[in-house]
Amino acid sequence: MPTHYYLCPVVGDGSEDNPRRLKVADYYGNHSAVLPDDGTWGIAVVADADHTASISDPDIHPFPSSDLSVRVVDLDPSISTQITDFLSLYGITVSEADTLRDVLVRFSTLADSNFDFDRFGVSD
Amino acid sequence: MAIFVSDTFSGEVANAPLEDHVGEVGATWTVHPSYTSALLVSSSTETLFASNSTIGTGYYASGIPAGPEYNVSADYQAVSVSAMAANPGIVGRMSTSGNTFYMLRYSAPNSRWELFKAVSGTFTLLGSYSQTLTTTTYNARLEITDATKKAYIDGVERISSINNEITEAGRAGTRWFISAISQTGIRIDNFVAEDIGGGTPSITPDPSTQSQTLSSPTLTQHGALQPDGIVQAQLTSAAAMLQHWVLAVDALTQSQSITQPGLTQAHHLPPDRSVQSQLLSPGSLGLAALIAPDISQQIQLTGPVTLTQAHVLAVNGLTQAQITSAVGLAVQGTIAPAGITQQQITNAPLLQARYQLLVDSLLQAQSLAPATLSVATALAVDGVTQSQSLSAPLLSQHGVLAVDSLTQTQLLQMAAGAPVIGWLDGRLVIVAALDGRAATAMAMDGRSTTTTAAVGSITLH
Repeated sequence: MPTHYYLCPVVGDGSEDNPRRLKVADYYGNHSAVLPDDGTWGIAVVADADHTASISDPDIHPFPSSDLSVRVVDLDPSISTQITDFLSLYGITVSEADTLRDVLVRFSTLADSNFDFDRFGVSD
Repeated sequence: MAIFVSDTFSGEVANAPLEDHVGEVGATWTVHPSYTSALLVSSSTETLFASNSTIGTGYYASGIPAGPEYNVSADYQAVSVSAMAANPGIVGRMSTSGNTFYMLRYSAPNSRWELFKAVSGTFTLLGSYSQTLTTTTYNARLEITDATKKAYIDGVERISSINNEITEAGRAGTRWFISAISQTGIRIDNFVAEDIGGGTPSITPDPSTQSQTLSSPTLTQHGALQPDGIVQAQLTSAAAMLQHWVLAVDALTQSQSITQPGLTQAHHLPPDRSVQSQLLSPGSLGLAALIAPDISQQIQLTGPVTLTQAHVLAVNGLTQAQITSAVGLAVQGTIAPAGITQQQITNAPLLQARYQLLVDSLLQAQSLAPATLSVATALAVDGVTQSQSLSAPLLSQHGVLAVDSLTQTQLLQMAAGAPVIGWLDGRLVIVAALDGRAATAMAMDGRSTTTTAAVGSITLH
């Protein structure tokens, strides 16, 4: 099944009926999430045959490519700007050499200092 | 890996609250202070099921993990998919006071497995795996390490999280949310929690070429000091092994224990394919212990070994066994059965009841110091080509020095307490040794055959 990465808002109040979670968890069964303890955004990786629901949700920002070796500056300029602007809100500056993986790791490390990309995956 | 909680939820004569049930290992259950009791152990299905509705419930087990890294697993029996009305979970690192833990649960409403952390009552979903259960049994395992928290379903990794906010070892337990009482929806069975790496178990896992433990490890339950593929293992000080321990297994070429290991119950010192095993100081083996079973090539014990009950010192495929000091064997012990080619005991072995010093396919046996054989013992049986006792064996009752296919037996000193009676190939045999120069063997099977042999040699017919 296709895998996509998402920058995603945290929803839920932390109760058992409404746990803190990334919003993509409401759309898909197979996901893995990195959530900050007290922040409002996290990163999820999702495996599903159809990503239409999350891609069409304006609250959720899908990574433009599941190929994380792509440099941010090589993306469509509007998407590249969107990513750069979003990350700047978190103090992350995107350099010319940065790939999508680089910015994913940097953002995820903000959410969880133990983040390890090699251990971040999802079962399909 | 050491199991510190095990519960098959069996043995109840009537349905019992989980907190009143006691499982096999470390499985006295306490209702977590954040929750109320709502689970029953079924006496008929021997499983755990929901007994209260619209309630969250949680329990922790009494077993103490060796450290914060351990597995928690259970079998989920999906009895009726349509009747599933509970979200049963298995938990680890559960605080015994705060509502804090990692949890793997099956969510019936969402038809998926979910990995949670709960910190002071705040639940966070870390990942999920979609699966619609059918009416079968699924094994779910929550693997908790500092690096990752992983969920395995039927042995396949399905969810992984790098979250490590909860670092205390806590306890293993179970935590459910129940929307309706149901014994026919989903049930839990075979709850197990076992340590991973570090601390007590699996000090050196495969494929180590050399492993040294220079000071005393304390191994408590179901552990392995060195599994798989080790070439050399040295233990230079005492290991205390309590229950179900394996010091070294599989493809070990040399194992040395330089000071005494205390082995109490169901232990294996080096089983399986050990080429050489040395125990250089006293070892105490309690119950059903094996020092070196299965295709060990050589075993040496240079200090006294006390074998008390149902012991096997070396079995199967051993080519040489040397014991340079006294061996005490109590009940139903066997020093070296099956396939041993040489056996030397240079100090007195004390064999009490129903012992066999050497059995099966023995080519040579030497006992260089007095052997005391008391009741129904056999010094060497079956297929021995040579047996030597260089000092006086004391054979009291039903002792057999060597039986079955023996080609040569030597008694170089007088055997005290003659005559010696035993069975040889279905025949009652009496053996007498006279002042070290002559001996008589007599077989009595109703035909009263008597044979007298020359000095230093007895041949039993």
